[in-house]
Amino acid sequence: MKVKALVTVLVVVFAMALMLGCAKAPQQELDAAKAALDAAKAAEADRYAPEMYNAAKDSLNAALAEIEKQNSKFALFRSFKSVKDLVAKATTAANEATEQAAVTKEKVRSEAEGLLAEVAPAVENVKKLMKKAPRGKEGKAALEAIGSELAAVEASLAEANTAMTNGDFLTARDKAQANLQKLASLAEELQQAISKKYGR
Amino acid sequence: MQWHYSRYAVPPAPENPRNWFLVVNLLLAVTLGAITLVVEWSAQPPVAQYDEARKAVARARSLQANRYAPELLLNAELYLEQARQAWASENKRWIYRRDFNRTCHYANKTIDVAEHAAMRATTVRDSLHWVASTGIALIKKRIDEIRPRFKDMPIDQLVRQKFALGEIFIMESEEAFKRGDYRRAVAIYQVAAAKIGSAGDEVLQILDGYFVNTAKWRKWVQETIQWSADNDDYVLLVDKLAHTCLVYKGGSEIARFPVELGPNWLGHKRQRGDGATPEGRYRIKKKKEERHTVYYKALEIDYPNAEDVAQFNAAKWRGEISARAGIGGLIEVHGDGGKGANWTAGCVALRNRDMDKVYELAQVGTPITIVGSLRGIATTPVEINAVQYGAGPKP
Repeated sequence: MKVKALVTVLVVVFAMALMLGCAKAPQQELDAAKAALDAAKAAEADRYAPEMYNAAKDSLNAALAEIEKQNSKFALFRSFKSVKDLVAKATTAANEATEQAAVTKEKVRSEAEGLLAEVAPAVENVKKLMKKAPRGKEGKAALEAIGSELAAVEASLAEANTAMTNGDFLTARDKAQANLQKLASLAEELQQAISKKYGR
Repeated sequence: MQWHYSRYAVPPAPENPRNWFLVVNLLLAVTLGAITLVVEWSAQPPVAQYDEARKAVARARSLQANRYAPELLLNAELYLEQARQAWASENKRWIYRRDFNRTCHYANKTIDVAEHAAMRATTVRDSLHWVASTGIALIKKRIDEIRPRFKDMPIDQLVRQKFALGEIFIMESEEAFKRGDYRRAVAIYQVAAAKIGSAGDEVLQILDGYFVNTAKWRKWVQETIQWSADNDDYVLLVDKLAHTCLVYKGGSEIARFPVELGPNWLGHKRQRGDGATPEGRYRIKKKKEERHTVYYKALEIDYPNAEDVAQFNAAKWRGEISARAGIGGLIEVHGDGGKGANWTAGCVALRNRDMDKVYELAQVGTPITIVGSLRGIATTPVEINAVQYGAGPKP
């Protein structure tokens, strides 16, 4: 009976060792990490949160390397615990990159939207000043010139709006900023002409 | 002892359990020993090389290779994936049959390409930074130089619009530069440069055409100054490009005043109502003040002279101007200037305080020569070939 018991214990121990040795890579977690990275990419995290996105990508690469490192070992000696840690790190970083990208993108979007909203009143202001500006012989040419420049601003503004519609908020913000600068210089020029005429 | 084959797959155990224990331990030790030997003798996985390759890619990425060397980074990433796949495929073979040469080859390739990408990204980023900062500064300087003149020149509105778009693009380029997107800053700067350059070229073309008459102007100016020297009398010279009226006496400049002209001052007057100021050698025909002029004080000149009439008729004959067009007249040097614009119908306007001085010096019959530009034209009889522009007394 003792012999039988000993054999049974050995068989069980060997079977358990085999089972443990045949541990598999955490495929589900790995797929989730890849999906999180894809989501980060789709959220333009590589543009709006590049550092976090790069960290996620590197963690995933490290996890894939660790899987192959473990797979290179004899089945009994494999352990995927570090892989799980790296995959978890990659998933967390990817999710954070997505969140950060969304926050940054929203910030840029709202800035661009705010600036674009300022452009229309600034255009109106220039048009109003043009009506007040000297219109006689001495003002005609200058007003025509300012009209041409205003047309240039309006063309650029249309491009800014297109960029905004296409979700390219950085370009929209840059363009809106440039338009406002140009409009400010036109308004200043007109103010000077008006002040000169009316002595104010 | 009897064998029970139907119940046991193992041979009957020895009588002594201690012997059994020994046998099993021995078997385990032999197995583990064999495994260790096989593992030791078989090829080692390229953990270090692969890690190095992965870190090289991460470094390239952190140096913004995805923006400044995207193709190289993509290649590096592809090589890294090939290395991983080669490693995975070897892992599927028996341990003693594994060969990681292919993995090492791809890992080394990854390192080479990733390092190249990192280097390229740094170089490209630095050079784009330089190109953008220098380019923006140059274009802004060009804008500052052109703009004041551009403002006063009678230029086609489309050219003006192009110039304004160029200005807006350069501001946009500056915004991209500020947030560190040098690639976009350069791309936008190039659009701005093309617009400013093209508008500038069109202006230069106009000026090239304008300066065709330089030799003629030179002769007129020399003769006028010579006349002043010979007769020790006053003459007026009007430089349209510089918007300046110069007064000479005895062949020397004694004063200069800023002037305003017609909106189409660039070029010779061709017909009535074109807003251009004529170029030629004239004389003061009439002095007007008080109720005789609406522009404070005025000196009417004898435009059109014989040459103007001949040119006008020739242009009409060539069909360049309408058969019904008139040559125009009543060109004056008058007051009410200082408005900061070219607003006259072709006359030369001075500030009233300057007009007072000119009006006092000029008499009926005083020569007045109007030229496109004195630039490059000698303004003293002695130094015919010297460029004296800008050296005279200030108003």
